[in-house]
Amino acid sequence: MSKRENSSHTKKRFDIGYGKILLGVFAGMVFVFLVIPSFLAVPMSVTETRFLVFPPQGFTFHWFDRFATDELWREPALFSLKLAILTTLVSLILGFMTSLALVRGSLPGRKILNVFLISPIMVPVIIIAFAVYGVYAKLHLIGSTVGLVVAHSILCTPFVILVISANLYRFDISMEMAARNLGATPIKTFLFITIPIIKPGIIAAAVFCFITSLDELVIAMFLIGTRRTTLPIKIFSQLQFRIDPVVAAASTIFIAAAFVIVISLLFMARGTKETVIKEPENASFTR
Amino acid sequence: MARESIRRYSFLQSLLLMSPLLILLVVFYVYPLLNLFPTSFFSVEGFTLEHYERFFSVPLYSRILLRTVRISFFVTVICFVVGYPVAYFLAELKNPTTAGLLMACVLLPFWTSILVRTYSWVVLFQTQGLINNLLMFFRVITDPMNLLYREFSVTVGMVHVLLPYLILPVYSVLKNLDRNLVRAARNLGANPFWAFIKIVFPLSLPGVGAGVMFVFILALGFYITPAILGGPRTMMISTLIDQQVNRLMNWEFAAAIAVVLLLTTVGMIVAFNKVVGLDKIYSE
Repeated sequence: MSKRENSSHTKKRFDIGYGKILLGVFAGMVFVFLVIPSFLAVPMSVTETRFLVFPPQGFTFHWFDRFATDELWREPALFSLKLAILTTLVSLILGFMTSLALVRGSLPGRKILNVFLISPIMVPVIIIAFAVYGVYAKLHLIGSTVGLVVAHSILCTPFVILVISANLYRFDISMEMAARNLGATPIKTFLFITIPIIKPGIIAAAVFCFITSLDELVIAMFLIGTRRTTLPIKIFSQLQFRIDPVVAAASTIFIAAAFVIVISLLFMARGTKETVIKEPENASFTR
Repeated sequence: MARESIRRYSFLQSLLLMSPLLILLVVFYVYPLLNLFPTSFFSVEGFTLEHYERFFSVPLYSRILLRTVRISFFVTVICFVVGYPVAYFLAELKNPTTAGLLMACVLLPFWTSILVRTYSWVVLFQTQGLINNLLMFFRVITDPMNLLYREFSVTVGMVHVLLPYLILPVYSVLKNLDRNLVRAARNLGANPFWAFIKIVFPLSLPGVGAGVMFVFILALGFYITPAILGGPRTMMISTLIDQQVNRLMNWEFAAAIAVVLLLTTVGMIVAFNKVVGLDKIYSE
């Protein structure tokens, strides 16, 4: 009896171990699948050939040089950067105000409002782009910076609202009360208590807006007009016609920038309870 | 803590706080979307349903519609089959450093350009690409396969982009699952497999529902992946809209297609909200 029990026990343990190893191997393969396409551009950007190949041949920084000096690349890159910064500012401010009202205000129909405010990330971008194009054409906003910033902000505010309202829900209101009690004005309380406490959320939301706008193709393609172009449009048109290693160089810079941002975020978040890695979980409902 | 105690803005104050965004959304989001309806019902002779009739009767467009639904369905199924075990694996990890590092792998795609990632598949799949070269090196095949610009490449590209959207909500539910329930089941004689089937899986369904519906909704309207990895023969609804607007200048017809896609999406968002409760993602 005891022998039988014993053997079934070891067998069970063996089963668990076997299953766990299988699961681990499977998960490992999926992680590789998820990560590889993000990195593939890095080795390809140093190829000496005039077109993209993998594995790369030779080693040169020529394509980076062209990206930095060629006006045809530099201008769209700078314009995209400008758009991304403006979009981040606009979406952060509008999204923050809305989150405050959502979390701390007394609003009827909050549920429907929530769904409405999140909906821009679920409605297909091509529909938003096409619809806004029709209205912008009438208002002569095609090709204007303001028009693009507004359209990108519509796409970005849902993230801001998701992340910041999640932070505000967890916010301990007694901190603010204590500050007020000790004589701080509402503005001082807001600047020195509220903002620092939800800082990780603000940073995560800002990075999300920045990257979304910097990488946004479809809306920009519809609304850009004929005079200018953004970096994603430039890359996209390159991908459709001839494939130039400058695309890989641009991508490498993009990836490097993303890394710098993530690492500096990790440093900034040290000491706070929230880990930045967890932050985008709230904003998992992207694009 | 009761949430009621936090509320302290009056209705008017809250409205004032929200008004900049609400005005922006009404003028540059709601109005443009509603404006698609009159456009789609209009022709030279006035009110007409011809654009809708055309979309649903011409075989080419029905094929595109069917293909869009088919690809979205397969992408969703693959994301679930692949993503669930990964989410489970991540939730089971005990070491926070390993978990954080692997979580970063799942989130990395969010931080890198979607164009770059999609383009990488072109490099991998092309006739002289990595996959063909590897397969030929190992003599699995003798001639390079045509992998690109087919439903296959579009599906792989879309799974890659959408997989994190399934992993994250499932992971979040599994992570917050009460472990004692599993222990109780084991104690009562269930083996790990049955404990999973009877306890863990049913409790993870809200996360699965959120992930699956989200992936499907996003897949239906996907543009970039089919535009780069699909050729003219694997057009999807979004690339069809683009073609009608930008190449053929056929605005009214494009508006009709957009309305169909929009209504489908809104319908799914409403259903999504009924089943999962979209407002849940706020408080979490």
